Amino acid sequence: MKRFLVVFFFSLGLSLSVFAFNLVITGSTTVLPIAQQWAQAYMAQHPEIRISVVGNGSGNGIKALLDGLTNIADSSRWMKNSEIRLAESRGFFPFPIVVAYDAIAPVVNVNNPVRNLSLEQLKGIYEGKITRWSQVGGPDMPIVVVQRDNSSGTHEVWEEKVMKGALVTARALTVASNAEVVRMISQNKKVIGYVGIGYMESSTMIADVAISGIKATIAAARAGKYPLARPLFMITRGIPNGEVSKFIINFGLSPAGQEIVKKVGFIPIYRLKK
Amino acid sequence: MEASFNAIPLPKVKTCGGLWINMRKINAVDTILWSSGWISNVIIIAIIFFLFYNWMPLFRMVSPIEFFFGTKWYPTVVPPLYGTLPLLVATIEISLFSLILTFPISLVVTIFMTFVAPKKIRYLLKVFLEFFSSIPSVVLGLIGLSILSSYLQNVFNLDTGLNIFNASLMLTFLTIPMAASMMEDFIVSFPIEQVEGAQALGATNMEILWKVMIPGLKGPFASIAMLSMGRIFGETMIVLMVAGNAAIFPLSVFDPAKPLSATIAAEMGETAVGTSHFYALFGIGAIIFFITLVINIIGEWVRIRYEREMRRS
Repeated sequence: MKRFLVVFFFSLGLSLSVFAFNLVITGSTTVLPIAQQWAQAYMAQHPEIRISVVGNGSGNGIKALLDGLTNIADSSRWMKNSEIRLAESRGFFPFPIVVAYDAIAPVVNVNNPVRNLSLEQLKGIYEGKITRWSQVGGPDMPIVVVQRDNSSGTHEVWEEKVMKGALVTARALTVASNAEVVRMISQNKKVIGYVGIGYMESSTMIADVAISGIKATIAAARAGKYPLARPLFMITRGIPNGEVSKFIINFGLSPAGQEIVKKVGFIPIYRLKK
Repeated sequence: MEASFNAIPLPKVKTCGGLWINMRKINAVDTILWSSGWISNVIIIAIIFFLFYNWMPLFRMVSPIEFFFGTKWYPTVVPPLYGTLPLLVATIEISLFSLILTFPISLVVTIFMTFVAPKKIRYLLKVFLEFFSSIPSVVLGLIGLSILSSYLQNVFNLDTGLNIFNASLMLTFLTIPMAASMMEDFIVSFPIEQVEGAQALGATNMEILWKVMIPGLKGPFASIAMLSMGRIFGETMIVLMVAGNAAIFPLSVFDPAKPLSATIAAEMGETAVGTSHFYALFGIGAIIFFITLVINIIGEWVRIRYEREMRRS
């Protein structure tokens, strides 16, 4: 009986290796919906492949890539010099592939009537200089500022293009993902936050804010008119080959993959034929 | 038959280090026990060394005064600001507020369990407390995040429901089972002679409780408070999810705050090894470690002092 149990649990343990993944993707929560939808469609086409997709911030994804814990790092920002040098010292060069374009939109609760702010106003709000919604044309209630944590590519782009070096107010609440920002705004009408446009449709309780009259749309981003547009990357260790290249290049960059990008709410990298 | 281990006088041998050991055969059990004892000490020393090794390089780039007393925590701007004072104040406020909420509630629950409740309800309450103590902290964080935060926002008309009050309330839920079970242990093991003495003098149950037991248990209750404080101080998941993570000096319990443990949890994942941010986070870890160590040492010292007193009386 004892021997049987030992053999049983040993083989159970061995069988768990079946759950090893062929492809591991980690990183940006902005790119996450794209990676998830691509993985689902790809696994439907290739049932023997198992793909693991995790969203924990661009910085974490790149760090996992450097440590060899992931095949593909999703990132909504360009790599930092320190990260590139670290990759070189580990013996590979990081190979970023643009998989979609994104626009970051400021969002407020749907019950907050403010729908248009300028970049200077956004900077003032995030710096803490503008503290009440009445100062920007809204009702008289305090502004609660929500920002992303420091592993977020969305946050990096916001810091670079909106804050331009100014410090975000210490009173700003810090949350860990796009989905968290949406959740906070849905529950609280005093909050202002920013999300990638892929998350704008994720809740009926949020409304996007135009920047100086220009809303975050595909057309505006492609025309270069929208100030907070950015490319989204999938980064691999060296030139991708094997399963990784089949996933990103053969599938993701094909019209099928880019249709998925459009369906999720991002901007495809080329104009799709209707 | 009373056999004494040291009945046969064995010659003591002086070793090169000046240690006296009894000359008897050192067997396998001896070695295992001896080395397990030493391994735990070695591990603790190794942890302390590791913390310092990864913290000291910070002071090449940042002055200690700015680290310990600076008021701005902005690790990702250029040049980075590593002021940990608001983080420390936030942790202390959350811990104190949780302790203020936990201690009386645990005391009342324990007294109810041991003195007032009939047997069946006492059994139910014990089961309920066991159940409570097995709730993982991340689940408590989830409850605080989804349910309590919107409730607090609406009822108190706050800017945000993610604040010190929320975090302290969830930490209280976490700590009450632990504190209540420790208090129950002490009350149940209270010296029966003192209780019988008071009964002989005609005291009622309530008088025994308030005039004999509680004053006599001041020592252990203080040590329970210290141990709960140590537990609360290092708790990460709950405060990460519900404290709001705003690095300010909180002026009211309804302000958001950024405790030390949540700072490490939120930022360590993204920090590259060898950067000043990395060393600063290790510094925060060292601060938490030492404060928790001090709290636990004080708690143990109070408990040992109480035991000596009780043994003397």
